[in-house]
Amino acid sequence: MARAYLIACMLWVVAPVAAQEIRFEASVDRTRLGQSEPLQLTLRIVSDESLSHVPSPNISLGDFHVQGPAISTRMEMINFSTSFTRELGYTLYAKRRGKMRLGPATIEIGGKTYQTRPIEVEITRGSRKNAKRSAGKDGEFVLEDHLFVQARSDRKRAYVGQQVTVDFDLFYRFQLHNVGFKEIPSFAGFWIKELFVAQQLQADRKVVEGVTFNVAPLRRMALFPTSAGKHAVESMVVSCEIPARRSRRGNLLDDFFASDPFFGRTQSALLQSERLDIEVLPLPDAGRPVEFTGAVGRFDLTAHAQPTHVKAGDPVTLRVAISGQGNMSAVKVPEIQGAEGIKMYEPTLEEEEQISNGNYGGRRIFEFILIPETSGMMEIPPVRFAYFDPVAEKYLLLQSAPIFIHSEGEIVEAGGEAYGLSRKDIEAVGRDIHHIKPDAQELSGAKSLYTNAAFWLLQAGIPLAFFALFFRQRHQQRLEGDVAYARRRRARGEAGKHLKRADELLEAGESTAYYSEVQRAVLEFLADHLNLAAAGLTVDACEVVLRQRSVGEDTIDALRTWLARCDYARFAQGIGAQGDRQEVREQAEKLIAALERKI
Amino acid sequence: MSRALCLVLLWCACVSAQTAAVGLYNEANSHYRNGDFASAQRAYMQVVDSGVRDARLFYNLGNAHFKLQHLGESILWYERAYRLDPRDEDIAANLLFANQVKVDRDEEEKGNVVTFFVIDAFFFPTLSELTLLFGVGWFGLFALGAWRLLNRSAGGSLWLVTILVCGGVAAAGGSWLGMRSYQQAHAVSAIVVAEMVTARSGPDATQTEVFSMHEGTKVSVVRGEGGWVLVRLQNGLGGWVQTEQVDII
Repeated sequence: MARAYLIACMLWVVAPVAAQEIRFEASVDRTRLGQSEPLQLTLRIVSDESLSHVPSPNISLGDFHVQGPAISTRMEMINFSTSFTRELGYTLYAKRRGKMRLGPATIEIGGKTYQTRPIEVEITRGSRKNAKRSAGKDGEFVLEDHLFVQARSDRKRAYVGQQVTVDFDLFYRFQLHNVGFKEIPSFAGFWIKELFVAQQLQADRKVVEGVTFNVAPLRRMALFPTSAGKHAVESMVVSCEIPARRSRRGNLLDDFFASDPFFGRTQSALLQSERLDIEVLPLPDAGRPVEFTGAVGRFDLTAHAQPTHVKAGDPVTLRVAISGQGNMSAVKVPEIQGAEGIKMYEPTLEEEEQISNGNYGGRRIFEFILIPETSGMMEIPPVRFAYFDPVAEKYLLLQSAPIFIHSEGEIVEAGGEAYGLSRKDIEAVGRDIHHIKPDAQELSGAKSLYTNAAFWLLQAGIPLAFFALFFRQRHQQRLEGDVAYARRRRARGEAGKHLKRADELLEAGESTAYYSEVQRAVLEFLADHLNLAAAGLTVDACEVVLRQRSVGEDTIDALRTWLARCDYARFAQGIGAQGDRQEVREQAEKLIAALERKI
Repeated sequence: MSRALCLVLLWCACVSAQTAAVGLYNEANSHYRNGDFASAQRAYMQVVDSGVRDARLFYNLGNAHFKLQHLGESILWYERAYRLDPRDEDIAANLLFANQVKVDRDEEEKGNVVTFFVIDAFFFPTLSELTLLFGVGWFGLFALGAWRLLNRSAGGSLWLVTILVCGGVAAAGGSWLGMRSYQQAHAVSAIVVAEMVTARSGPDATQTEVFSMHEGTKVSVVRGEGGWVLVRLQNGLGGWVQTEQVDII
């Protein structure tokens, strides 16, 4: 059976008072616990009179992170005897491991001092090496085996000014809520730069001595030691909550967690990283150049002057850029030996920070204004910058090429002030909004081009017009190049012309010619439609052609009968009555329509 | 005949309304010059109510509000003017100045030079200019295509380059316009016009107060509900305020 929480001390001191009986006692929920686990300390004052004006007790809790106190009061009446109880609940997290003493707590009531007995608690911490064992064999659960914060540095020894990168990682094996930084180390003895701070947990899987952990980076800091000696990175304290877990059948780990009282309900935990010791070496005296100002790392130097041909008295800008990796605040203004005949002003500074591959660095640009005072060729001596390379463990000196400036003419004296730069700048003495816009001849309306429906309709019409033109051109080209297509397209129109001509012949009383024209209308329609010669299109030929195109027998029969009727009327002049001619005309139109549909 | 008469009458009415608006605008300007900012503000508002949407009008109205110490209203009208004419120096300067004198500090925008350049370039043209750009490219594209259809000897590398340029202009203009329209339609911003506003956790005066803000603060409007709107600050804080305490830009 898992260890039970025990009430270790119920120690109390009774201080008999003439009129008021008071008990003052302290209790904890357990006396042995892990460093990450909370310890509940309760100070209880019990009296037979009201405790509304009781002062706060005094207790030294320097070895703990303290939350609280949560204060509660209650009144009880048993056998007509009334008692008042005031409880102060503290949640404590140990700052270190080992045996510790809580209290004694003291309180002064009615001129008398009451005191609790001290409580001994033991703060333990399971080793991560025993993670498997502690979770499995002996059954004792040690939270630190499953949840801890690790601090690690990329080096244990460093030179003054050399970057030491410290990572704080959270190792955990179960779900966590409300992870937050409780206490950030002071980093005394270091100049620090924050490289990364986690906004949320982003974990990777990692196996530590056979146990799989989720590992989430919490913080990454670049530390630059400011003095030699032994320095320490103190513990970082992280708070979190571990939600209650439900046991799932078949999952041994979950069963284990569910059976443990620690995981039976949501628990808060405070995690502390190990303290890191860093030995800081002083920078060597040997070989230190006079130009060295404290920069440690790796740097580059460039120097440019612009323009290099000027009139005497006109300014030249000299830009000296020092970039690299290291503590950029240690990069000071490089000393430039002034050339004779050149006046130099204090430089302005531009700086940029950069973090690459976990290394802090950047660029500092010093901009000097130089004024040639005389004419001729002048040389600005090389700009020199020295730094200590901690990898090579030696000082290095960077040097730019000398810069030559060609100056012409003489400076014109103006009212006692030699240079334009020394004139007084115009200064603003007040600020206000800009004045209103002037009167207008016209104002814009509510509609802009963007919301104009007519504009968008026009835009939609452009492609429609284009495609209409496209299909028309295509049709025209086909009419010109494809005879069969052209005849088929014109067939109906030509037939219509013949029928109209037949009507004219009928009005002129030429009956024979009428039948001939009507017959021609149908036969030429068929010939045009099928791209055949109209001259050779006999009744039999028509039948063959129509059958080849799977035209129905009823249509073929109708055509044959109609053609025979026309032939008969043509060769037996005067037989056809007015009604017959009209019927022949109507049948011709029906036949044309039927053939057009079926061919 | 009667239809033509109607059109002429309609045109005359439009011209007359436009002339009246211009007259009122100029009259408001003279009130402003004489230091009668309240009359100027009323006259400018009448022009706005007549349907005029002119950056100069909005800017002058912002100035009148500023002189009347209505900081929230002045920033609102400067913002509206800025949307119509983002390259006007006076509008940008007064908007910047008014934002500097308001109580709440704006969250600094994060990013590098390239990001700022891209954002500035994205908002540089107005919607009408983008529409025109798209229209020119679109028309050019189909006009060159039609010319090729009608004139078969046309073509060659010059024609090809020109039609590709027109197509590119139409595609770029259209995409840009689409993105800007989407941004404008979905990123609804408002200005706090009440002197001090308390945002609450829900659309009810009994809900918990979550933060306070002052006139002139720019907020994003998420949604509305029964006389309340959910607004969000640039730093992500959100809360419900009464509709009349903010005004949509």
